Amino acid sequence: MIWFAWRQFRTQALIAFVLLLAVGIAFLVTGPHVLHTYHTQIVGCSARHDCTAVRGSFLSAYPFLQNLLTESELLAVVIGIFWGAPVVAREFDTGTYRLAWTQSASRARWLSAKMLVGGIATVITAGVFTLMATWWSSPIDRVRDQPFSLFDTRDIVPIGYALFAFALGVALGAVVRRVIPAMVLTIAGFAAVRGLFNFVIRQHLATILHTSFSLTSPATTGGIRIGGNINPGDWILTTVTKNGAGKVFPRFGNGIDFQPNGNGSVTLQGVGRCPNKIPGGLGTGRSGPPAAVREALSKCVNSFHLHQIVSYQPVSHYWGIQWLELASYVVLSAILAVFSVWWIRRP
Amino acid sequence: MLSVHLGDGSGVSAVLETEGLTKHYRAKTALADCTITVPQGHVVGLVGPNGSGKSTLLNIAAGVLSPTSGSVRIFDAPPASSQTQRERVGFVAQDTPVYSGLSVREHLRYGKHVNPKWDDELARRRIEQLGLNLSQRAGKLSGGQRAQLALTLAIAKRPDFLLLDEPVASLDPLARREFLQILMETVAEHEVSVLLSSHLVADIERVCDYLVVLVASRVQVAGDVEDLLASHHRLIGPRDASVPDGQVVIESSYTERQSTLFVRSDGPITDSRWIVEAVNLEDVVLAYMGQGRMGSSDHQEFS
Repeated sequence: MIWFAWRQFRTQALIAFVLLLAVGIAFLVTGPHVLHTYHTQIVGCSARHDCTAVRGSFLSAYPFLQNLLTESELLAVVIGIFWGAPVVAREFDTGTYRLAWTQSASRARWLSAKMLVGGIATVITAGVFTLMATWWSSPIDRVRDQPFSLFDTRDIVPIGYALFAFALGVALGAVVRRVIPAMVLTIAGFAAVRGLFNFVIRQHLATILHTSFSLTSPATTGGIRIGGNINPGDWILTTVTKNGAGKVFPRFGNGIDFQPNGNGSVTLQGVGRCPNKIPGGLGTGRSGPPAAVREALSKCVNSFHLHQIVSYQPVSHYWGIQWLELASYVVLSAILAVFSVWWIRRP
Repeated sequence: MLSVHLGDGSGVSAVLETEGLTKHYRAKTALADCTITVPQGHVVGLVGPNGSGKSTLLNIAAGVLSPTSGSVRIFDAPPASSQTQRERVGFVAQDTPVYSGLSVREHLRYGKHVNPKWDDELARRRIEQLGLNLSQRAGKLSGGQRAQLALTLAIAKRPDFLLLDEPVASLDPLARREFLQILMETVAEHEVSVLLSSHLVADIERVCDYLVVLVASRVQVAGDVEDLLASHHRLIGPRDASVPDGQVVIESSYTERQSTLFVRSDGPITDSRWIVEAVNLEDVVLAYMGQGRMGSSDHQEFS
């Protein structure tokens, strides 16, 4: 049965192999150069004081490959619609299920073998791809230092997505029994579950940390200093701004914005009118407001006794969330596989 | 009301028995309350017009479809309910599906993999007899060759009961004759019970020794072909002559002066006013189909 499942799958496996090979060659050819650039230009660039430009051009190196990696969720969708959906549905389209289901081996064995072969191929394909992608982009990612922003396209979760897309395709194909509708539903179902994870579930896969700090405005700048324990790579979930009395200012962003009302009266956007008059308005021009104005603005900000409560996932939770999200998708895939077998063997 | 008892209760066991078998799809009913018994050790022809439920019945019997209600038993167990059960039943589905991307050789290998009782020698011998190229892709075979390949797979599985759903419907006359001939050889060689559906009486006549006429899910008549031929007659007589005793009229037509009756004879015909003609199987089938189409399963008794 495994032989037969493999025989049916062979062509698709070959196509996947060729595509992986092509992408692999592109990565292997350009990867060492990326790494070399990183070691020669990025490491130690601070000594030469030209970091920003160098980092900027490094981050936008090989735009085609970088975009390909950003879109690498497509791999899971492609596997779902071209490998998963046809597993059962194709046999209905061609009528061969009547041949397959009237052999001595049971339908359950028939489908299990097909899912096993397709599932293993999916794990290998997605695994090899994400391994190459993660390796190739690791120097760039280190410079970018935003691991959560590329969470879905790096490390181990793409394997879970691909496996889930495959299992979803099989299950929907078994239920609707036609390839094209099964493909369409697979795309929709996959997008829905991915969206649910990305926007609702993922942030709860590790304990959310909270940190609180007061917003003070140093007299010298008139701006706001962001404090607390937040690191650049942390994933900030929510930011709540309150004043000393506990009043929440939902419309106060992270930036600070003053609105002149005339007669020296100024409003701190999203919070309220400054208690003190700002002499001479806010001033314009490249030099910014004069020192007296900056001092007055700072006094205004500080008078509100603002503080922010930030909920976030620290960088240190990254791998825990990766593993847990992978595990979730593997469990979902297993449930779908069991469902598919149960569905087609119903009397 | 004519009640049909197949297997006649005299120790001949049934290979297939259904009772009140019904299959609904969303909008239509494919099979309604079908009760049928197929005796063992026969080549049974299942004839009926398109849409009479033949294909649905066979797919349910093969375990591919599940009925909405009613019971179906093959060898006194539900279809495909166990490994043994699946081993004992072979099925050639309508349009004889095979995997178009696989070669003939790979089909045989597949059969061997999924059937413990697979007779590889038989399969290879048959393919050789048919002159099929083992390396040929099934998708490149002609309709007749594909049907033969499907039949080979079903036969080499060595079933006790072979179900064939319109296997020759799409074949040209030559391929059709060849297919049926091979089927008959196999049946003779391996003592397998067969249920073959067709809407062509000529095919049934050639290979079957038992006939079931199904119209709108109802069994109109069922019985041994020889018995059916012996017990049915065409009577031609004057318009005013009454139907002889013991004759059940299945179909009748009249001209101004003459009556033509198609009858089932439960007794000898002694009335000399009637001319008695023998009938062939096609006459029997058509008469019962016509009766079924009229939506009546009751026979008018003339006495």
